Amino acid sequence: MTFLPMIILIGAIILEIGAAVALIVNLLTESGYGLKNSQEAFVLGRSGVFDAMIRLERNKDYTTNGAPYFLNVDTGKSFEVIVCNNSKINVASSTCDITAPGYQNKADIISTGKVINKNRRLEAIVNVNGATTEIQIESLKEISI
Amino acid sequence: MILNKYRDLKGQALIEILLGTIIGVIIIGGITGILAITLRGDSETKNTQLAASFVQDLVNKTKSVSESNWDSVYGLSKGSSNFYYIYYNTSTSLAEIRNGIETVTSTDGKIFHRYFYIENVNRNYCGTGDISTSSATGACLTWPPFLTYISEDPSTQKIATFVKWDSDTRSVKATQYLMRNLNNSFVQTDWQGGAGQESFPVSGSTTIINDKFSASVNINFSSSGSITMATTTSPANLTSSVFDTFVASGSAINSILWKGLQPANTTVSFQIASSNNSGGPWNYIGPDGSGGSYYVPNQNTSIAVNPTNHINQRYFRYKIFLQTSVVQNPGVDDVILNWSL
Repeated sequence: MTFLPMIILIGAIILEIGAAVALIVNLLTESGYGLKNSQEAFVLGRSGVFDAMIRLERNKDYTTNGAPYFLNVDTGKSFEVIVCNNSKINVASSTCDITAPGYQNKADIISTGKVINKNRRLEAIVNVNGATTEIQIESLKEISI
Repeated sequence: MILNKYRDLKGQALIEILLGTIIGVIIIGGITGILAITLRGDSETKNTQLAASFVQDLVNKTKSVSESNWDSVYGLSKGSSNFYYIYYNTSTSLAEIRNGIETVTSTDGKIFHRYFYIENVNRNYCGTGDISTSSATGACLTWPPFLTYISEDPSTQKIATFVKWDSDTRSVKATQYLMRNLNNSFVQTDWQGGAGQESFPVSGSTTIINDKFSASVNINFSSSGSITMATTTSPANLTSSVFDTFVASGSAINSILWKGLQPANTTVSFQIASSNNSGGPWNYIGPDGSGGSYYVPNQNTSIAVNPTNHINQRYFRYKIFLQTSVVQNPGVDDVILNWSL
């Protein structure tokens, strides 16, 4: 009889259509909400930089010594911040590299915003004026994770 | 003959026609379904991306407005029932915050609703440490404060921004923290000009920090660039002239630092007074908000000012206290206050 091959064929077609639908839905969701989550991760990363800056305004010598501090903003949303003063952040070893040139009277800030599965990382170099305690941002850029 | 002729004819069995029809219906239905989902999803993706861009736009505008005038954000009613949006006032060429919900129309005519609301933010270490969701614990009786003391940080605000569409059944939200990051400094490095100056002179919209001050007790200010105790047998203090920040909506004082010599068993401490009137009144207070407490930073070590004191005051001045329990005398060369616009 031809029933078994036919049933297999129909089943395969249904499965294929189902897989195609799932793939399309996933792609569309990812492109829509992925962008939205990525943008919010950037905003949170930027908030982390500002948070580090106000800590420096209150204490010009503020540092996390290379270790991050965290803030859970909402469910699935957070940022983590590392601050090194007069030194460069070594992310891999979670330390401050005091031998790195060009970081005298500067603070290195790396902030990572996280929303669901999207992460954005920003690095700010901040001038710390030891004579006046003024904190001025020198550069702010996105870096790879 | 005739029967054999019909028996040998090859044709479609009914079951084969039915199966073919079913397969056709499934394939055509499936393709139609995929197309429908794709088109609907494409429209939804487009709307979500538009909404995300509208959110980003409002997030950036809110930050800009807060930088131009912190109190325009901090002074608003807080909580999720108070909606605001940014309105560009063409008559003043300034962006301003208005109550309500903004309607934004995309280029293809889609209607979106956009707004934000604001929440105050608490931190541990009496408003100077990590952002905390815990409730405030009350007055800060020690300074530097303990980790467990939670209080509001008026220089930090949490902003939740929303864009909604399709009769507000669909939405995109972004959360950001705004901080009062634009900062400046007050630096006095000389007092040799003597007492009697109530306010520092101004030039245009800039306050000139000169070598004079308002009053002193037991202070030797005759040496250029330094003050010391005239005698070590009794406490000494000096009251500065009034400093005008020229921020009409007021400033925030972030930290105090002094530089000089600090022998063992000597203390240099501060109180700060602030006002929105150049003539005061001047209440000199320490970290707990009373006249009985003092900021006691070590030489060349920043100490945070309690952020709940001196909120949005245009004028401030300091009072410095020098004490010793030995014959050595502390010498203050520089007094530095960091403040935010």
